[in-house]
Amino acid sequence: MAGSAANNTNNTLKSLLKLFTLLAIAGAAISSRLFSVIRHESIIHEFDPWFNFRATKVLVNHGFKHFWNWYDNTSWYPLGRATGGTLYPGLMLTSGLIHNILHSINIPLDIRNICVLLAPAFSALTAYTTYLFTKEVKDARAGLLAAIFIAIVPGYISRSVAGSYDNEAIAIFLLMFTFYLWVKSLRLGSAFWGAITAMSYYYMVSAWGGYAFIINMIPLHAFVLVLMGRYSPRLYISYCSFYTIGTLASMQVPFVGFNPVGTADHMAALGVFGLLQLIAFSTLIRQHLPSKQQFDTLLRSVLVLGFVVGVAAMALASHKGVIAPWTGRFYSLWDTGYAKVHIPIVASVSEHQPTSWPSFFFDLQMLIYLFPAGVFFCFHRLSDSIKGEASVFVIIYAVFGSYFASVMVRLMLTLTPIVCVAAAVALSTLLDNYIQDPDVEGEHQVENKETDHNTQHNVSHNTSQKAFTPKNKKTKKDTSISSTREKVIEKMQEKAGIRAPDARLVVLINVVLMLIFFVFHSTWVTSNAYSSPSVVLASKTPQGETLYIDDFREAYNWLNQTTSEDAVVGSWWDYGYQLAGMAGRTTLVDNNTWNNTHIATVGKIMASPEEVSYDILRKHDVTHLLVVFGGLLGYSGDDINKFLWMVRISEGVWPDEIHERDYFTPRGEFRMDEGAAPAMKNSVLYKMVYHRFAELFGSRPAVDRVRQIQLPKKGPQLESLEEAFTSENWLVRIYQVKQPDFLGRSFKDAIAFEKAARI
Amino acid sequence: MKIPEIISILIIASIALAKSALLSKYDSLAQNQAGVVKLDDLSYNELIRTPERDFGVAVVLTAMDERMKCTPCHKFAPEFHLLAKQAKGRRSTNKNSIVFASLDFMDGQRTFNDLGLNTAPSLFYHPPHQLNGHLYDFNRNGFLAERLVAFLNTHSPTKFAFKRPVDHTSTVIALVLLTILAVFAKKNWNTLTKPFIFSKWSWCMLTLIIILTMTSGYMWNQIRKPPQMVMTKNGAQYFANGVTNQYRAETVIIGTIYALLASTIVILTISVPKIQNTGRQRAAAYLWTLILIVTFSVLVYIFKMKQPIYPFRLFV
Repeated sequence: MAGSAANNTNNTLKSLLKLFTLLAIAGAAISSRLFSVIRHESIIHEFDPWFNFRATKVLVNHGFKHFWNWYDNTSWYPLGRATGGTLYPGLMLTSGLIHNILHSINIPLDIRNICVLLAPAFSALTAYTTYLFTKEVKDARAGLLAAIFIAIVPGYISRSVAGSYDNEAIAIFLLMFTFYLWVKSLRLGSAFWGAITAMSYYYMVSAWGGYAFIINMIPLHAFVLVLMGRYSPRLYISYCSFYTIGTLASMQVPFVGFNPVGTADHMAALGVFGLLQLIAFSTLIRQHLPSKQQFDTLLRSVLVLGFVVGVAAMALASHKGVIAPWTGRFYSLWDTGYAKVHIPIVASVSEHQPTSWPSFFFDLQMLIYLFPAGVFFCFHRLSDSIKGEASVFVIIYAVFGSYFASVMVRLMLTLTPIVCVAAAVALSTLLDNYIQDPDVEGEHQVENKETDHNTQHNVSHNTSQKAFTPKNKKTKKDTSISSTREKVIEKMQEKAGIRAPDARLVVLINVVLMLIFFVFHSTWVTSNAYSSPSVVLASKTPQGETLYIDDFREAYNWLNQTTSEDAVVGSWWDYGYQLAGMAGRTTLVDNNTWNNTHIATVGKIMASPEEVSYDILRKHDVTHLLVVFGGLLGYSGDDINKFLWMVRISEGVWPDEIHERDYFTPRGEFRMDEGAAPAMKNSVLYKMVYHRFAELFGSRPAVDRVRQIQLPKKGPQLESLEEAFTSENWLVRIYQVKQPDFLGRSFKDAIAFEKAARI
Repeated sequence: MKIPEIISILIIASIALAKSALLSKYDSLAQNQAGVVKLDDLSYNELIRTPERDFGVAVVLTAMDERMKCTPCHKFAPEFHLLAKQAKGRRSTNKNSIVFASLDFMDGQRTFNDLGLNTAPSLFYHPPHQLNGHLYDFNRNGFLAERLVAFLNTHSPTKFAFKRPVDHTSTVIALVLLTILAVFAKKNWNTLTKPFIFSKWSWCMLTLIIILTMTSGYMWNQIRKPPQMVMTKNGAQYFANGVTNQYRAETVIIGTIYALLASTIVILTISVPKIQNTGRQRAAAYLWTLILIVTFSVLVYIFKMKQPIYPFRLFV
């Protein structure tokens, strides 16, 4: 009685401690993502978030209905974009909901601040979900470690700092939450939890295109379990309830529509669903048969036949076009050369490049080698009848996650959670063996303990056995000397464990030091690599002062204040979302990149001589052109460095008019200086970028600091365009497109006449 | 009255004859030389700089001599010959065709000088009657015949398809090996195959190998095709500079380091606690911890070498 009371207080203490640990982890997760807010201000980052922010403002200001049917005629001018049906609304709805709830309880928090802080808030939830997931795989101890890892690992912070208001901000939480619910519903064999999994999946579908990963991972898991002979009614119930409800729900998202029944991406899920029906049906029959041997043979052959027929039917259907083939972006994951040849616009984005090993190390540091060890321990745990299934899941996820992450830098994000889980399993198994007393460490005992879910029970088990430890060991040692045969038997009975306290201490200290190093690494990476808003640039003066370069906002603000509301601003697609979000002006193309031809049109405007471009500009009602030029500042991500992609993309649409070759010198060099190719010197982009640049240097030669070249003394002459605005550091330059000459002269003639008149 | 017409017909006929003479001359030359006419300065001028030429010429200016050490030339030559061979088969049906020719630097230094070329190979396509050729961009398109065909098709009036002869030897070898393996597996079903397939440790090994190759940047190598390593004055350089670059040897080293570190963790967790002798156990725990620290330090050191602004280092 007294013992159980002591246990109770012990348990209360433990759960309290756990709660505080989790709260501390949440605090760490949130605060480590606030570098940019503290250094700069509460501002939306980068490019895509600006669109999400604008869409959220539409939702909050005009209501749900307007948002759902939103037709945005200020982007992709003159085509417009049926925005409501072509976005994943989950993110906006989430922040809209939070906004409304806060306002209904009279907390007037600005929608901008909600958007900025959404990602850090959800990262805290991700940490908690990872804790729950890892608890399903191993136990609460590993769960806490996994939560710590995911809270501060740079691979996840890279996409979830304050201000990076993107789909991934909530999607990683949803990914882990869906997986956790799946593993849990599988363990319980519960249709209720299966349905909850489906609902979480629905949320995920509405939030991120990466939902395809879930709808392939879960069927694969089920399929592997069947292959391993671990089919169970639990699997049947949880999978079927997840698949049916999840698929029906996912079709309610307008952007997804009928994809779940019509594209190859989703067919694996359907196939496994069919397979499970076959298996369930035959096991049912089997139970009612007296002789099972012949039936088993029949069953096996029917299953194999059914599998083959199913695969063949799907192959035929996709060949005939009933099922749409894999989408290009998805397909390029398997055939790595595909995107470069067929979808240059995908290949041109830096986050679609393959991953070199330093990027892995940069984003995961010591977790990268704990990861394989953790997967190894998951194999160790397979024999566990219930939690083994979660281990299978971890293993499959690990294999595919690491493949995808190595093909595309961007998918490092999907690998990171499982790395944290596996690393936590590895480290906590190590810690288990070095912290706990030797006698309760026998592997079998550990495994047995895992199977009963009552951790409290375990604890009492531990403490009650403690008393017997020393004596037990001694007697065994004495007897083990007698004969070798006995020794062997003895060895098998003897419990594994670390006896020397100093050895334990050394290992533990090493682990603690490694963890501390990991914290230092993560903080450094977050602070230096992932916390720049990229809208405001920071640089250091030689004296060590921080200098903020705010040219982008300066230029967007200028557009907003000076140009008329219906002005159409042409720019390369990278700046489309920011233009719409910050300047509030109509754009030709933006980061949505749904219409390659339109993007190629802008590429052609930039790459062609003025006479050709002017016609296109007039036809598209463009009033202003915006270029980004880093030559004065040394900012390498400017339009000149993107120029080849503009040429390539427009060459893809107009192979007769634009030739990449023309922009190189006869010797094959890509030059900007005196010796640049004529096509380059005549291109509108070149002229806009270097217009009057040489005058800035007076008598000295003009130097482009990005490309380290000297420019000709006499800069390019613009005829049909007129400089309207250049920002402080020349980062953004805006040109006005001239009206046609009122006397019908060509611009050249008009300029020549003006000059003559002046003389 | 009809005399001018007759004269003009005669002229046309003679020109046509002359033209076909030029074509047939180079055609037969090509027949003798496996599809590609080997030129020198003289014949280059005759073939390319004749305005009456009514067929296209694809000429590669190359340097096959051993002393020139032109690896790309040797890489490109078989592709060019392959293409020429296929085009030759089609020539009889299409009069308005392409002659494939090559001019080696050893035979045509003057032409190289005239064209101002100091890199090889360079490939020009000269459309019929045109003196100026289109230059094929090797840097962008690479050496594959398929890309060259696409280039020729955009510039020449004749379109032709290229079909790479499928090399069946590798498929046959693979098939034979597979059958041998299958038979072997079937024969030893109970002793080898079954234990292998049904053992979780074989799958474990497979999984770990996949994970280790992937996380050490194998796919980057497959896509970017970096060199094995680079030879410098100070000997072999195994590690590329910069975090977005790597050599093949480098990824092998890193993969090994990861494997070593992971197995250190596994040994510390599983093997060390099983050692019964306390002294030995202590020694093992110390030893493997030391190995862990040193290897990790080396890893951090390598990373710092590649990214000098990384502020941390351990004991190395």
